Amino acid sequence: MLAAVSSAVLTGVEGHPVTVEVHVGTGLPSFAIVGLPDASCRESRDRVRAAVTSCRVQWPSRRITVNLAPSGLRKAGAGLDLAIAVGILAAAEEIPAGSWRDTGFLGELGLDGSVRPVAGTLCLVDAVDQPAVVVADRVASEAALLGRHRVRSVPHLAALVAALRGDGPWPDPPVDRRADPVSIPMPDLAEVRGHELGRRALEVSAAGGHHLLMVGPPGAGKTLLAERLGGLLPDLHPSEALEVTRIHSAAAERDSFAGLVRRPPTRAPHHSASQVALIGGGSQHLRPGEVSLAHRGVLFLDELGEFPATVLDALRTPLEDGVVRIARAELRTTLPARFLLVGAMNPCPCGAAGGPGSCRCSPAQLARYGRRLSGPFLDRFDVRIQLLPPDPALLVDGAPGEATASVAARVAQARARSADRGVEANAALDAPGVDRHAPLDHAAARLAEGALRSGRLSARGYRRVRCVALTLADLDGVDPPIGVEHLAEALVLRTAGVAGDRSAA
Amino acid sequence: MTRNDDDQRRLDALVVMASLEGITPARLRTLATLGDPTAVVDRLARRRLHHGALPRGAVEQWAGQAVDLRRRSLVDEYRAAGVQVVEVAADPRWGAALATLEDPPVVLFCRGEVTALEHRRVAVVGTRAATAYGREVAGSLGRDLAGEGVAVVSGLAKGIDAAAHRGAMVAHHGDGGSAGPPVAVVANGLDIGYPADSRRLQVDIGRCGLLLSEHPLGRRPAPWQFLARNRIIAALAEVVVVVESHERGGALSTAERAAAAGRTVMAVPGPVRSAASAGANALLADGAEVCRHAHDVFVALGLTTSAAAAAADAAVGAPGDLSSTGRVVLDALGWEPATLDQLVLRSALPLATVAVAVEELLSCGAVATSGGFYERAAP
Repeated sequence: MLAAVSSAVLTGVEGHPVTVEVHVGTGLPSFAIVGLPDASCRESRDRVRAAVTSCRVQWPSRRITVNLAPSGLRKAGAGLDLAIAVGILAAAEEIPAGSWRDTGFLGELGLDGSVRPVAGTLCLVDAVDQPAVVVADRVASEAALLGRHRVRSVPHLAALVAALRGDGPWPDPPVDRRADPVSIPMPDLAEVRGHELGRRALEVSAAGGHHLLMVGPPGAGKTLLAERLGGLLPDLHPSEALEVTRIHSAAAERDSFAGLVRRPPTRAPHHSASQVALIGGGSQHLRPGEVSLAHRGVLFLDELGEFPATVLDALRTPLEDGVVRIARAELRTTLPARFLLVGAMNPCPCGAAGGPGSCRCSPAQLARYGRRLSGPFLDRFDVRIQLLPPDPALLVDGAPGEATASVAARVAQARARSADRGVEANAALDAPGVDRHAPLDHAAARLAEGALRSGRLSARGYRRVRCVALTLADLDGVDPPIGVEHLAEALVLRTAGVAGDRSAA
Repeated sequence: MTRNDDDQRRLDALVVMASLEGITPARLRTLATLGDPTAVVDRLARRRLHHGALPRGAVEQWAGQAVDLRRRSLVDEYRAAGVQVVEVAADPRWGAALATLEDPPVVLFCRGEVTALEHRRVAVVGTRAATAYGREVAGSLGRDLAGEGVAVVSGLAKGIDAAAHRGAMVAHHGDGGSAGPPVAVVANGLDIGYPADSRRLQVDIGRCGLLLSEHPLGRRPAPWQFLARNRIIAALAEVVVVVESHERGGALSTAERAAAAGRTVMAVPGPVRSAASAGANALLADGAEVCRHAHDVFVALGLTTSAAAAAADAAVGAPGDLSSTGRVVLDALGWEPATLDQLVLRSALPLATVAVAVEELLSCGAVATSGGFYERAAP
């Protein structure tokens, strides 16, 4: 009496198909699970036994062996509960053979037999080859996002048994009131008064995918601006949306399911976040980190100078490749992590609100602060601006700024122009791409030459500045060659520095 | 035994005393008043020295150190390192130069030309966290003063001090013969290059000017030593000019010591809202003389009587060939550091126009930038 039921487990954001084989044979009554279950998975035994008994089904008092195949893959979590229960009932011939064959089962069981959702349902459903899948009520609509399976949702093991036996109908999927989620109101750029440079920097950053660094004393409005960057980014493409939803589902970020993630996410981890929390990983459950949760969205690191240097340096690979690679002795996986990085920091430990001459830090403090950010890391920021708290008169009397919607329209137009060049955004252009797409006109070339000669601009900086200038031209709807206005603006968008540079006489 | 040998032994003993661990100028003076230095060191080494003003524990420790140090002929070692040892009380030139000090150093270590003492001397001091404005004024003061044969005295610190020294070096290189030598009084041993940014400057001043310290070779800088050093700068200078100083800056202590000694204290006025000029402006409010340019200092020194003619030279005009927007943005900038946002707001021009103007001003040197702030500069 053997049964093999399909299910899946999660590694990172990938689902892996798992076959739950159950053998019910003669011998002293026992219940064993083999096939590399971890502690939480082994606890299934007690949950499954209680759940089955709660459904008034006879627990087979025989020797039960459950094998989770492939046995080389470590299984974590309670997501296999439902499949194990179905397997035992099938092997004990409590449910008719064949009723469960073309179906994958994904769910955790309560002691009373209730079926609970598992994290990463979307990824798990993707790994199920069968044409139908059974999940918990709450995640039915999430499972249906893929559209490849016939999704059945059950609230309780008893209802599932009844349906499989043909004693009752399949429960109707619950009416999901959250299927069309009310969009959460995003903060609008119109609320930002003053900050001409900051607004322009956000626009450029959104349009060109340029990482943004904001330097300024506390209260300058860095967070205010950073929170509004996400609103400028275009909606996610359906394929991107699915990708992002998978990550958020796998990280169990959303307790109640809120449909497809259609807007670019914004993540703002605190500077006390550990490297694993930021990058992803973990010894028990391999969980996506903040960089993956910010995939296709914005990663905002406030107080950049307070993050440990090791954590920041770990960001360099995802910044470069757009993925996090996790390699362990037993598994290897990649997590997508292509995000727009926004950093905010004080110019120095004392905050130096007034610029040069107002800093009261000791040289040793400045040197220590400057060392926090390595040169290669700072190099990733194409746009670096210095912010001061805006003039009080502007806060009181100033007219509201341009609204997010109209800026977002320009951003979309600029992104369309980059798409014609074959890249998602200008920041992705490589060196030959910049040379081909961003030639300078005569006046701009002379300006660039002057900046290079005076040492204000490095050779690497020169390429990035042209890239930003191209984005500025795109925003204004101007075709290359790059004019002097756009190049000058790109140059001033790259001027802020931190403590280390400031000390230069 | 010749008289020279006696002198040498006396100096050796003084250097031994100055090299003891935990010695301060006050303790060194106490030791020096106990009698002939050779005899004092001898008593130290044999643990026969007791004095109420010297902590017993320190004297205990010094005994062992004195035994070790006494074996070496320190003055010869210093001479080999290019450092001269001067007993201030015994040298009439130094005695006169530091006469106003109640607590003069017992010994001075110097490298370079002691003839610097024959020049008129003016101290140019100020904050380490200087603005471009302060550094420029200090630099041109140093250059113009040295150009007229005045020895510019300062402390080699970052910011104003270094700028003043650099200005003086420029004049010195311009016409080596008649320019006043730069004089730097440091708060550490002369072999220690501090601050690191000024290491080259320190070497250059030792070569063509005068480098001074009351600390033996190998002594690292410590906060109290900077304050003690300021009294030497104040005493050496006939006039002390404070270029930029924060509200509680070290330069103010130099000014205070100088005023107490009856020296002329001058201050360079700065923008009233600039934190870096708060101390200098406070000095002016308290009655310090105004220093706009080197000619004001010459008047204070009695070298000239009319500063009016020179006033026009010091005021920095805008470069002649600026575009109209460049001029507007330069006016909007004023004389305090400003961010681009402030420039946009004050000039009421679009960001892109301001950006072009700023790049123009940067390229012609009318404006300098650091860390996202823009400052007016003398072209």
